[in-house]
Amino acid sequence: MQKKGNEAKISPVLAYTMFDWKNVKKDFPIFEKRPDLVFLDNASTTQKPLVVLDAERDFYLKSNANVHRGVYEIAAKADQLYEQVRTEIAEWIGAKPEEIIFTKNATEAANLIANGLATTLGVDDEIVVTELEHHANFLPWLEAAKRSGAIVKITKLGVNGGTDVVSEINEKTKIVAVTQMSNVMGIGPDINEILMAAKKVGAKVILDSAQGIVHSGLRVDQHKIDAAFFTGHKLFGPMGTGILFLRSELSGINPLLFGGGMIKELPDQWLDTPHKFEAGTPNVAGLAGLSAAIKYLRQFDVKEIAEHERSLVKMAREELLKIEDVRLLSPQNATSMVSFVIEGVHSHDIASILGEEGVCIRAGHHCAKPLMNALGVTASTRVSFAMYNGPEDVEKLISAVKKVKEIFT
Amino acid sequence: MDIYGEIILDHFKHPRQSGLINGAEAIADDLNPLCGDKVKISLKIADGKIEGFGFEGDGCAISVASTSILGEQLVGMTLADFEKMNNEEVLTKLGVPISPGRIKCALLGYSCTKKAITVYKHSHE
Ligand SMILES: Cc1ncc(COP(=O)(O)O)c(C=O)c1O
Repeated sequence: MQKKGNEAKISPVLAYTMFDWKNVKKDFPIFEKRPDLVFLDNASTTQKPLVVLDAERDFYLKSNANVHRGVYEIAAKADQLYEQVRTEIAEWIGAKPEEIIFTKNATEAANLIANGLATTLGVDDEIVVTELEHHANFLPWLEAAKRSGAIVKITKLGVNGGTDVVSEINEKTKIVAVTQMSNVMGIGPDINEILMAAKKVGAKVILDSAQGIVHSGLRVDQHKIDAAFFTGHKLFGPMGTGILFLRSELSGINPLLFGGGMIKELPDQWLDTPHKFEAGTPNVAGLAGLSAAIKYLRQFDVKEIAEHERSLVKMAREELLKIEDVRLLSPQNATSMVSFVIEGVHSHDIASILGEEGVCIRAGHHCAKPLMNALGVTASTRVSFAMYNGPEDVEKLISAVKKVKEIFT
Repeated sequence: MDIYGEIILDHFKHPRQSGLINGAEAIADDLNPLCGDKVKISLKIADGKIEGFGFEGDGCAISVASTSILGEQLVGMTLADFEKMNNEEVLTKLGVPISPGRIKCALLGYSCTKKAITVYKHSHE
């Protein structure tokens, strides 16, 4: 068992991986309900362990009340829970509790920061993003630029999924918004290098950690990022929970949402951060679930999970390459995913046939159109792993892909 | 029944009426933003009747084959009869079950043809 504190048991069959994914899988009830499910769409969303479902249900069963509104016992409990989750997440990523803002997903968090920073930008100021970005870390910056007159510079995709961000950073750069890990390529640019270059010219660094935090973790005390965001549902937590880490120095930016729970004095004296950014009723039950998900995840060593996923990536790559007309798009060192095309077969047809075989993968542009253009494809197929996947899943994937080839030749 | 039956695969590999018609009376393009399927349709129209159908498509087998199958049915059809068609009929004519996730692909050619004819009718009113 790899849960920390327990000794690792190495099965002879799976000697290549230390990770006891079979036991982990038992924590996820969907695999009991659907024993044949081959779920390889984890970069899109992950399955939920029972502890997460229980935590959500527990909130509604035992202490459902709104936050910031009531003085009765269960309302106070809801408040306490809400702030406790904030503290836990802060501790996990090395931030202060008041630097953690709850949103409904990564997209809302990205919009919050881009909208808030837009008013600080002027004509000819530059925002640097990469061709690897998910639309969530791309479109909000285009909008911010439209409103402020700033210019968005997009760094080109280089060899092996790399991109040279640093040489695009200069005195005009005010913001560098980059992905920690691309949701198509499974790798990201060197954040330390970017931070060094950005700090020299006083630019802010914003990190899209939606994929990265799951497979590499996030420490904002080690990397002096100005803001970072991620989404609960890719972290084994519930949908409808997102986190923006906003360094205290930036807490003066404008809120994105206005309404209840964010005002000190009418008409426009806001509460202090983080509450000024959290208008309206938040997803308290979801956050209880997210807290359980993070606790669940923290039992494991993130490096061990990454290593396990890498061994699955390696196996999938080797087997896919044996199939005629398969072309891999993602690099060899991708942590948790393999993106590919089959020449002559559209990715949606691949996904349909795999779907019929019970293999869940994603096809399309993956909300990363600049990257698709750079790769010279309109769509691609992505296989993405999580800690509960094993070699069996790869075997089923490969036999389904072979079936695609049979149908289309 | 298998969605990738012989007929679908045959139309995908050998689309009928592939290529745009020179001097077409009606033309339109459409896109399925979900998977990036693209189609462009050109129609030869005379005396209220579709006399020719030609298309260019870049997309999945379902979108290409369904457009090709549709085109075969449309040549010779009056605009009045075309207007009586609906989504269900188009899907039924494909002869295979289309899963909810693929309906947009299967109707891309049809919706694009509707678009072309609407534009044509506006300019001939
Ligand atoms: C890299 C990256 N950023 C942002 C997002 C957006 O996440 P959400 O849809 O939960 O807002 C995703 C999810 O697809 C992603 O992969």
